[in-house]
Amino acid sequence: MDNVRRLLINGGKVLLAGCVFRTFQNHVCDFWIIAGNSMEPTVYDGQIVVGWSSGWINLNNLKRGDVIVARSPTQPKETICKRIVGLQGDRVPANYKGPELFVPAGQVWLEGDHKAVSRDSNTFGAVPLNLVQGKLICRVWPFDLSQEKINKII
Amino acid sequence: FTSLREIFTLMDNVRKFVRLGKRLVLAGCVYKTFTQHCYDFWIINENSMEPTLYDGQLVVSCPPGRLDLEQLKRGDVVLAKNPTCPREYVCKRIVGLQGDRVPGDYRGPEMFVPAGQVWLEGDNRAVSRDSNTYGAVPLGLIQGKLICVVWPMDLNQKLHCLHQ
Repeated sequence: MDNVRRLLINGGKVLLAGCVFRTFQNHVCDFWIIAGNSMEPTVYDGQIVVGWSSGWINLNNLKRGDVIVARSPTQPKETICKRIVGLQGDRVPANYKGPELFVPAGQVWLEGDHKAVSRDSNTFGAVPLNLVQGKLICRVWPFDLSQEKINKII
Repeated sequence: FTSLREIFTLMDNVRKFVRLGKRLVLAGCVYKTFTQHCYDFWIINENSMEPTLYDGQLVVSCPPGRLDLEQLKRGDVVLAKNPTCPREYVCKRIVGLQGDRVPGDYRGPEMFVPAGQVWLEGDNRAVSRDSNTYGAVPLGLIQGKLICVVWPMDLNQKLHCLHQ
């Protein structure tokens, strides 16, 4: 009986720790493993990055040049990592084949740094800010103290 | 001159305060995880879904942590993040899935609902700002599928039926 009690208490502690960790992940700080090469040479496939979660950042303060992680607007289970190159009101790139001329209110224009292979706003148009899941801070694996800043000012 | 006893009482109160703070943070984390993975509660604050839902009603929803976005059907009432306004939410009915033809009087350019998106409309067409205003909405913005209204309680309510 005593062992069962101890098991339940330890199980409860694990659940509690899981809740705290999950809440921290969703509301403060999270890490992502990069898949794909659409953001080369900034980040490569397989690297691990950390960033602020969407609950922590002010979505209205995101700037051109920030690299963000967002839910894909065309595949809801996938997450994409791209750079913000246009904010609401900005003119859309000239070679965009869709109908919009300006980035609508509450949305942003995302582009991957590796333009040749990136599927981004040039493919699926402007992305609502509410799809943003986080803003990158830095790369943690491979660890490199002298890495260039990921978020640029453009 | 503060006595040693007064210092110990103060330290004891600080400890109790910190312990209460820790318990509140823990409770908050459990609540947050529960509302992300089990059930979530919302208060309707718009009239765009009348007569199905009214301003001030309390609803319970199935949150995104256990919602299969690909199983959503036409007629489901969902909560979604607003595609045009950060940090705001809308409550609308899904009337079109990917591939469906867009309503005839929509002024935007798309003809069909794109992949991974849905067409949302409020039941109160006169006042609702929905996909007819801002176009198809990505499934990734959906924050829950309504289960039922819990306040006011109505055992005969029917939410997820498409009425033309």
